[in-house]
Amino acid sequence: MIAFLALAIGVVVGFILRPTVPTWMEPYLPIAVVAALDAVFGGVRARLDGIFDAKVFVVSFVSNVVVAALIVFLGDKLGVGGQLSTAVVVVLGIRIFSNAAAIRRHLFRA
Amino acid sequence: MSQRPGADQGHVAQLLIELVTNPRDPGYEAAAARRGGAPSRRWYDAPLVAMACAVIGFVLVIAYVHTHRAAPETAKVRQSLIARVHAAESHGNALASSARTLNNELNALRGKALTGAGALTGELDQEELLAGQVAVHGPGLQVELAEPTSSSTTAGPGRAGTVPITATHILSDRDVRSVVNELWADGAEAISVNDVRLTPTSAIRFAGQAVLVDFQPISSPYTIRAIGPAEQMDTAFASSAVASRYQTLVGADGIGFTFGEHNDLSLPASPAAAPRYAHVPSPTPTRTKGTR
Amino acid sequence: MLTALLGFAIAVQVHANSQSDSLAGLREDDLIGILDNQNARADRLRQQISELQRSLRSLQNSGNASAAARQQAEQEAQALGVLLGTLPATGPGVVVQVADPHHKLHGEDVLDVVEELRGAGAEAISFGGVRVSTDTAFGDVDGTVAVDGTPLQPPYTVLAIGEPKTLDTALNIPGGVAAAIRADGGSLTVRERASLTISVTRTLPAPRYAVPSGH
Repeated sequence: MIAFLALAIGVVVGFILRPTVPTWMEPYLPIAVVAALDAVFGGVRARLDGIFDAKVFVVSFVSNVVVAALIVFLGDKLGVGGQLSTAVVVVLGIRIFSNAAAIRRHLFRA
Repeated sequence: MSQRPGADQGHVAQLLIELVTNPRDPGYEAAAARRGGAPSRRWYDAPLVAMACAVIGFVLVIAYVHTHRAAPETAKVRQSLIARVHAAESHGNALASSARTLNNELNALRGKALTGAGALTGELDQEELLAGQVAVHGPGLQVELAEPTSSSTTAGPGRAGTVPITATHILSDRDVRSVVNELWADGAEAISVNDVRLTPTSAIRFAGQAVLVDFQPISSPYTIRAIGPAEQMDTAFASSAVASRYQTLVGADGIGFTFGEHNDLSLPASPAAAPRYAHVPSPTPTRTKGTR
Repeated sequence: MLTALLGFAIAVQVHANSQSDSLAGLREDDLIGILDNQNARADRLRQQISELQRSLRSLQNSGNASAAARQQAEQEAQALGVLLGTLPATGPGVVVQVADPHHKLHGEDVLDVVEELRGAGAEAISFGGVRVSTDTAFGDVDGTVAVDGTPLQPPYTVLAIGEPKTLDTALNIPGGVAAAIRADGGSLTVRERASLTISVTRTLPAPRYAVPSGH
């Protein structure tokens, strides 16, 4: 539907532009990726559960990225940046896994 | 905050329960409850979702492009580094063999010129042997220490740019050192580790993940050959604390540890350099601090 | 069928691991460390080669080959005597004091100190009044550290002849022997000396089992 089409468009634009990531942004890239994946999986699962809400989708993605970036930024200033980054990735990763499991149950009834 | 321990347990339990039971996202739940179950139909729904998805797609691609932009570079650097190490190794080996040849030439020439100075050459020969400058053979003990064969793969932590280690190491330089130390105590006259002869200046050390003997990197399995009274060494080694320690590790960690007598072990030579800082004090001793 | 697939994957992984070049699995820092060590080894060998060539040339060029050979042999005997510990030695180096008030150090901890010194280029070492040689073994006798079977009491004075700064740095690497000894409640202090003398020597047992291979 629209969502997948928009995703595809974003991917294509990304490949066309191939922007270089400035060095100050580098540590936040993995956070952004995991937050994005978490929002996608969460959204798909909500859709399959029948409770999808666009506002929640957008807000959750944006807030995940912002909060995670803030945590890592603070951590970098305090010297625990690497560990906090790992922690954020682990927690969001667990959420991705559990959402994926729920999606699997919907799709394959397994 | 009134019941502190109970409240803390509650938080932890909540987290664990959430992990295990996999409930739906509370955000979506709350929104659905507010709506009363029917799917929402606001005007800004579709464009919002579309924009968010586009951004997500964009972010994922940026990350992919960024990671793989650096990859060929880092791979090339690694390859060149490995090539340099190999080149340095073979260069070192070539130098070592020419040093050995020169040493033999020198000894031959000296032998011819010194016919008659039996005592001096005899003592010199013995010292050269003990210092590891002469290849030797004889009966003795051979000890083998090996890393466990099913090496687990551990991915290195950290951000982009680091290369993961592909094997964990249980044994280190200290283990090889312990065995060598014990063998000297048990009566060894000459020892080699993975065919590197030990000299008075040889050190067994660690550099990152590789064990270095006399500056040469060696890897598991570690074969330690010691020439000496075979039976005596075997008995002493078998009843030593070092041997029982590694015997336990065989069962606990699955390392390889075997030792046995041999009738004829061959140890190569290792040309030792003349000392650059130490020399015999001149006959008129000068009083210096720190004498013992 | 899934378990068969899993088994196959494991087999492939193990095979790949056993076949891979031992260098391919190392981190960049480790590779650089190995490269440094290889260069150090090459330097040492080049120096040996030039010494050997010099000796060869002087033997070949000298009029009285026998006297020249005798002189060289004596020089070499002295050099070996210093390295093996049969002769006293003097030169620049370090004086190391190892304190062990809680008696927590074992023979193997002390061995670490000696190996670190050797790795940093120490040419003559004495530990607590005992000369250290190739076959010196460090162990424990009745709960005290023993060198070649002789029990010693802390604090231990270690003399090492070599390049003073290199020896000092090697002992004080963060996380190295000094740190390990401190973790056991002891202490390790290093004093660099422009000149020190190790007068204690040892006798060498004649080898009875090792025979030259003659090549």
